[in-house]
Amino acid sequence: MAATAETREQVDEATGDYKYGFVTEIESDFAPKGLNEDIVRFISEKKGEPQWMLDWRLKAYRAWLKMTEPQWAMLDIPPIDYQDAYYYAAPKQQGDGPKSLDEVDPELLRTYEKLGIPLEEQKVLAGVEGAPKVAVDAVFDSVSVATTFRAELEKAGVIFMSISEAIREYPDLVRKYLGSVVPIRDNFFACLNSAVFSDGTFVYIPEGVRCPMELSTYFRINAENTGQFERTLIVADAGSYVSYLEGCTAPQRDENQLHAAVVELVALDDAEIKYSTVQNWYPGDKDGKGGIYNFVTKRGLCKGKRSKISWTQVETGSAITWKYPSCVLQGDESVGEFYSVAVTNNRQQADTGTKMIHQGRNTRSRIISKGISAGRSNNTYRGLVRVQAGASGVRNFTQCDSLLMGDQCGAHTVPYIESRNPGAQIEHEATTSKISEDQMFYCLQRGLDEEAAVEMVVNGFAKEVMQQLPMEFAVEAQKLLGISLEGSVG
Amino acid sequence: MADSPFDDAFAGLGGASAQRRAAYDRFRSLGLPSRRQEDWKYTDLAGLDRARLAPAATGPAVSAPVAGLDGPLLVLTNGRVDADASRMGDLPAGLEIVTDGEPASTGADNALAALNAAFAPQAVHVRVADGAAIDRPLQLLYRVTDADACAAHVRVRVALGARAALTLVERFEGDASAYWQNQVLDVAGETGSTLIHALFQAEGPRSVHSGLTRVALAGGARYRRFDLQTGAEIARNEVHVAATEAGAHADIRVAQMARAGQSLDTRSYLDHRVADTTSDQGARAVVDAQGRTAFQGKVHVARDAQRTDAQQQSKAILLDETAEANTKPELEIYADDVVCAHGATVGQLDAAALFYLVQRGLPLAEAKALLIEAFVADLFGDLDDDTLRDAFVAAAQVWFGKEPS
Repeated sequence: MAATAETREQVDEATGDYKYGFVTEIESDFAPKGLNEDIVRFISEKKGEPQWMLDWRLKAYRAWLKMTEPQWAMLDIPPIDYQDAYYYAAPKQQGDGPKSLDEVDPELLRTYEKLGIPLEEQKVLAGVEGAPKVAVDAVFDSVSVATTFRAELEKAGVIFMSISEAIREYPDLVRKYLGSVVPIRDNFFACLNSAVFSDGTFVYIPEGVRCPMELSTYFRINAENTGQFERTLIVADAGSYVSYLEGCTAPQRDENQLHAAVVELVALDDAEIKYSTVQNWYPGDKDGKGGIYNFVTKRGLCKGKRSKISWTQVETGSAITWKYPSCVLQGDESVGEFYSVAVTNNRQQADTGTKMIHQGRNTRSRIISKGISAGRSNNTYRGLVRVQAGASGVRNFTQCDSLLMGDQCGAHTVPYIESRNPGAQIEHEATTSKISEDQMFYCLQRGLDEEAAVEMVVNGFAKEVMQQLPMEFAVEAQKLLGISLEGSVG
Repeated sequence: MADSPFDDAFAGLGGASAQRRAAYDRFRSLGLPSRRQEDWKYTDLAGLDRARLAPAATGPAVSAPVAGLDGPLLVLTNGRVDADASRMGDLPAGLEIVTDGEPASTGADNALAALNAAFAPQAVHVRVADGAAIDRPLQLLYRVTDADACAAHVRVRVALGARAALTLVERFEGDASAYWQNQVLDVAGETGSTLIHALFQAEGPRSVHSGLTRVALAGGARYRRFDLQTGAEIARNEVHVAATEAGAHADIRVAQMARAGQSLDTRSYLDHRVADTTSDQGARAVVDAQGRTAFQGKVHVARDAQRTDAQQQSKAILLDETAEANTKPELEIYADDVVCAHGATVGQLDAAALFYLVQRGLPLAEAKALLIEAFVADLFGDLDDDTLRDAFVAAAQVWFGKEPS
């Protein structure tokens, strides 16, 4: 079925103009442009960090100088000038920082409001009987400006704060786990992050505690030319459970913006971490101008027996996505899961997938990846399932499906399967297809218009992943899929 | 450029032609592949340039063609045509075999092919005339003996005319010397032609084997490869198929059986360049103690290569705690109206089936052998030639020490 000119126009309307592309005018307290040891010291000093943290950063910076960018991804990345960016930008504030929401720059609050982020709305949410509570640690250009629900969380013993605060308040905990899952030298971008991370989130769930609410952080890149280097560390102690939501949007820019985040998860015996992401950063315009460069290292360590880490991601934004949320299944009988929907349109490029490293006995993993390519984009699933020699009784199931919309895009699959144990049972399936004429005919013939039909088929295609999202995210994610793909059917 | 250990060997050729010089320069600029290259992740050739590089001398002929097959037989011993051991009289009408001393082409971007072009003493040209269906298989036997620290580079070109048909049987073997055999096979299939390609890689236990097959298929041409890898200490095979016109079809069937110290790696590249072409790949691996296999199967669908149908199945069985199987079924797709799928499994022998056989009185070792045989034989099931099919099963049986039945 050929797309009509009208449909094409609608696509352009829907995707060409970024819905959330506006700039909030707030003064930023910049570090000078560029990167050197002084900048690293500046960042550390601005945050009032202890010496060990500064040493850690400097060690990372010196290691980073000797590293080169990875080239193996199926991405066409323009050369990045790391000296032509700001490595620290914080919203200006009076005194020691906001004591409550009232002290938060109203400009900020308005930004979140426009984005539909429930920083204000959460109070309403909290007032509704039986309504789920969502705590927000809002990251606005690198610095946490508001953390809510802390009191209730504290009652449960849950630590949920910006990582800068945690370094000051819980140095032993942070020091013990920071870099334990993603070592300083892990890769070029993680190493850069280790040197210059501006802020991020720290979560600690004590033994036996089921976190009373879903934790949520909204990321948003704002100041022009500011790289974002978030650092997230979540530790779930024995028998605990936490569900963490991460979502982000960014204002429209012509200049490419670099983002290199690191997320580390640690699950001890019988603990479970569920980490959900909706990523909707500015993807660049329809000619590929602008857009965020997203180089993320996310890794979870199932350290304890019977622990579980589950990654769910809906990736619709960014000009370039380089991201492989992974699980190291160290504890016996631990479980890793990866559910992903990645949508690329126009000139977007995504190279994303997961790694499941089976080290413990009877460990299990499940990978469901749905890639949707439209426009002139390229979408690659890259995954690794590795079974180490001692890991008997391992099970893995992988399914990665690609949906192509239009004849100018690309869909690629690069799975690595490496087994060193005869007891491991590994299954991998992959398919590539387009929305069939039969499906469209069926829907149209029942009175749906083309847009609605496509949205329905796409949501059906992505259903297995969308079902994994917490309620709070599911609606936004479905909306995003619709916005990203309306009328792209060819 | 730093000195390469190959320099002396190349100088030793004495008065090499401009073509060989160009090929050698090409190799020097590419360098020996290393595991740092993504495609070479599973094969380590690091030891190659320290040993095994002098051109192999002519050795005594030992001929062991595939049992039960009649038809013409061409033997290459240590890289050179061995007329005495060959059986080339009475070639079927339409089949022509010519040997010359000057391999063409530089090997493009493939380092081992470039080295082959620089060193191969001869090139064998097989031509099948338009419309000729050769009813007896052509056997090529590549044999290396007495060749410690030597390399045998063999180069073969097969050209099939329009609607021509040929069954080509290749067998690689050698003694216990530490040699390297490096083959480049180019196949050009004209419109409507069919090549059935049976390959037995049974090189000597201390050898390195590398093979590159490059196939170009015109409209409606078919290439069907049946490949059993059991020999060599290190084997690396690449199969590149370019489907250049509508209706072209390729079947790739490769079974790799590895045991102690063996590393067997096959990489395919199915390039669907135009609309309406098809491919089907099936790979099997059986890996015993301290063995390693890799199957890297790639399907590339070019922009506008609509209605491509490309299937791929890879299965591996590990027989021991120290065995390793790697699989990388890769898709790179730039057209939307395609059906491309791959499936991959890695596991062990089915415990229920094993139990069933043992419970019926079969010794455990025999039961295992039977299941492995079935697992491998399954791959060669759609080979029409009974003799060849039996030869594959027999070769698999030899691998696990059973007397061929």
